[in-house]
Amino acid sequence: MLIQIQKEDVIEGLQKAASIIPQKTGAAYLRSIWLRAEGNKLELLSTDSNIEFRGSYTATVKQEGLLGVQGRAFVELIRRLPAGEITLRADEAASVLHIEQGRRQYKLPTNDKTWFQSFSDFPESGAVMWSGDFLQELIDRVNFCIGEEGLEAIACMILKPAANEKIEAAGMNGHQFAMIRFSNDELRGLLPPNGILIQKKYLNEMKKWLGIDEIDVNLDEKRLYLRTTDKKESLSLPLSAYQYPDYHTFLARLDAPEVASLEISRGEAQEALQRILIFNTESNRCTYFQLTPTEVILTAAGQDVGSATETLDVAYHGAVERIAFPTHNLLSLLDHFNSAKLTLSLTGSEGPCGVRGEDDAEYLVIIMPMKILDDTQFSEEQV
Amino acid sequence: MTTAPLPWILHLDMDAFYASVEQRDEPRYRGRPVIIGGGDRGVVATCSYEARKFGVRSAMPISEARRLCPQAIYVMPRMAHYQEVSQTVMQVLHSYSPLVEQASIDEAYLDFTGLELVESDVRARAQRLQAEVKEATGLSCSLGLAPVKFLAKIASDMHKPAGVTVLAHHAVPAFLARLPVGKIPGVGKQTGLVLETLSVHYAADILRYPREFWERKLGKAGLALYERAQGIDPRPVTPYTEPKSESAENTFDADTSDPAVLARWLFAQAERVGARLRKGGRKGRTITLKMKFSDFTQITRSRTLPTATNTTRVIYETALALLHEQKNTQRLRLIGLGVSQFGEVPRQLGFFDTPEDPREAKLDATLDALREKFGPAAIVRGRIL
Repeated sequence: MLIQIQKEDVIEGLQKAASIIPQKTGAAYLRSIWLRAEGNKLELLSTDSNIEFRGSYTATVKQEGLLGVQGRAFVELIRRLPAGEITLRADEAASVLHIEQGRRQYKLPTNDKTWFQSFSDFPESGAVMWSGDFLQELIDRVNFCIGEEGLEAIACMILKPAANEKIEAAGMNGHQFAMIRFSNDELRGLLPPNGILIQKKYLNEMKKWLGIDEIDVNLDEKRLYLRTTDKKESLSLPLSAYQYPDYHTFLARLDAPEVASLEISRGEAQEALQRILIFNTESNRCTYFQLTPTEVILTAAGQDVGSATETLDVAYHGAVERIAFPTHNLLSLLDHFNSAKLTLSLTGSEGPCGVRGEDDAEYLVIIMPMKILDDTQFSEEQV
Repeated sequence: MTTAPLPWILHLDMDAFYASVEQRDEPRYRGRPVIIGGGDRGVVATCSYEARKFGVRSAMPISEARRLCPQAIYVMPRMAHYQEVSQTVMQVLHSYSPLVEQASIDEAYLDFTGLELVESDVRARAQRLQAEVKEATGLSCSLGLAPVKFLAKIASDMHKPAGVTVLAHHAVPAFLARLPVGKIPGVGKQTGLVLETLSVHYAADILRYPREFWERKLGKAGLALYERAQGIDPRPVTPYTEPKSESAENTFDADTSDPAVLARWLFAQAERVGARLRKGGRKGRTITLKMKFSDFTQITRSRTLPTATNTTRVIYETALALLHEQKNTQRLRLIGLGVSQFGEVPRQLGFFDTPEDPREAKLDATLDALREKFGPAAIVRGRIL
């Protein structure tokens, strides 16, 4: 292989390829970025054995070839070189790749090309177009509720056809749930009836790769494929095959007639909760809500950290008088809405609480409250 | 110029506590040898003074006690009842000093320092305390008053039962000169042998050898012994703290690895521990399983639950799961379980939480009430028959 590349043409692709490589692995194959020079292109390929990245970039190919180099070292070197032309020359006999730029010369050991394993090709048939921007936002608004640990099934986002020609994307852990519904007929047609499951770790990789441009999307039985519409870069990842919990059981509770309704200003609540968070401790990390028809009194107290009380103007009707939420989780939830006004549907002081916003159409987050304990605080006063 | 008040520590030791409670509650036992402890492989928890005349002592195997005193009345301990009586005693003590350290169910230390400023005759004050304990419980106790803890404990033992022994500060050196070393707490059989070979018979004899000698000979215990020989005991009276765990254990008549037998015992223990927790209004999150094998090695395994419990079933099932996970094939000499980490921690509820079954709490409460009224054997769950 002998090629010349412009650093500016390849550096972004190289960084994306490098981000796929596992941090620690004993397998040289997985530590590698594969370089394939063909026609007038340099193709970069990397995988962690599950997720696969492919990118194709302009190059002057003087001699075609395929080789694997230690990915992180190679990318770090290219990143630190000045902009401009870089020559890559393979010495197959010595199993090294020469990297040259002006008077700078480097050598990196290469992997035998017999180690190369084929990457999945993007299936052209049935591919649909989707907004990268929207997919990024969707991941962002669901991912924060997806568990890092626990049941493998709930460490995934589900994307499935829903009623009224919609698609719903949902994620949950044991205590929180987020769902967004949207319309996309083509994508809906692509999805199997039970939907697909994408693991949280792959969502994070997808989000890093996605830009604001449109992308091509396709599926086969085992993998999800994403590709830039100029076909230069693609990402494919395995789908999970777990039984996702039936979240519709607790969704239905939000629409029961006895559900209490609390309308609050998102901004005011955020500011108050950020101050209250100061008064949370490792052992008591919640904010108590004392509910009246026109006011909610927010309190938090710890034995050693003092206490906080804030009163917010609200519109409330319902039977729940007191409820507590983990402050940090509630703040994180509020950050994912855009609406100035939010409506909280309280199914009980120990039941799920649904949050919706007037300007966040079809977006629902459910948070479980804290178990309220009879907590006695002691203080000494001069009387 | 004022001088700091002299330290005074009082040690209270209830006289033959469990046996005295039984004799108080059952007139037929009075004046007769009463031995608390049960089963053939158990040990004597305590015995009445009448039984002691026959050579019966605490911690002696029951089989030995039966040989020495076959005519004695053998009574199974009623720990919950003794706990209640003990609480009454502690209430009296708290009216005398804010610094009360309960050392065991029938022993306590009080810091009496400074009380002679209020009442110069500390003996009279101690005697009044003794009378109040008698009035509140109907039981006698022995008291020792001394400048430090270990001397107070020795003093309380000097005129049992119902004695009050005051060891004044100026009398300490003479007292130590004639105090047999075996009386010093911590000097057991092994240390006693070492001291014997060195011709150390009295506490003061210890000072014939330098501090370093004792450290070399007995390590930390040697240093403490050297201090005690000078009447030094830096341990303060540490006020009583709430119990941090509830537990129960059983030694088997014959070592066993039979899963059915082990499960049955665990259930019985879960009932006992659960009942004590419920009575005290406590719930714990950590369940611990204790196993002692036939070779006397011992292991414990614990599991912390997301929510605190005092439900018999939950305690039992958690301990049983720990037992199964152990995959033990060895025979067990003892099995026990305990509940600790009292109190609920705030936690976020889960979508898939299983709500507590109120019927279970109701069943536990009903069984507790029946046993409280008619005795522990009044009703037994089928699974432990």
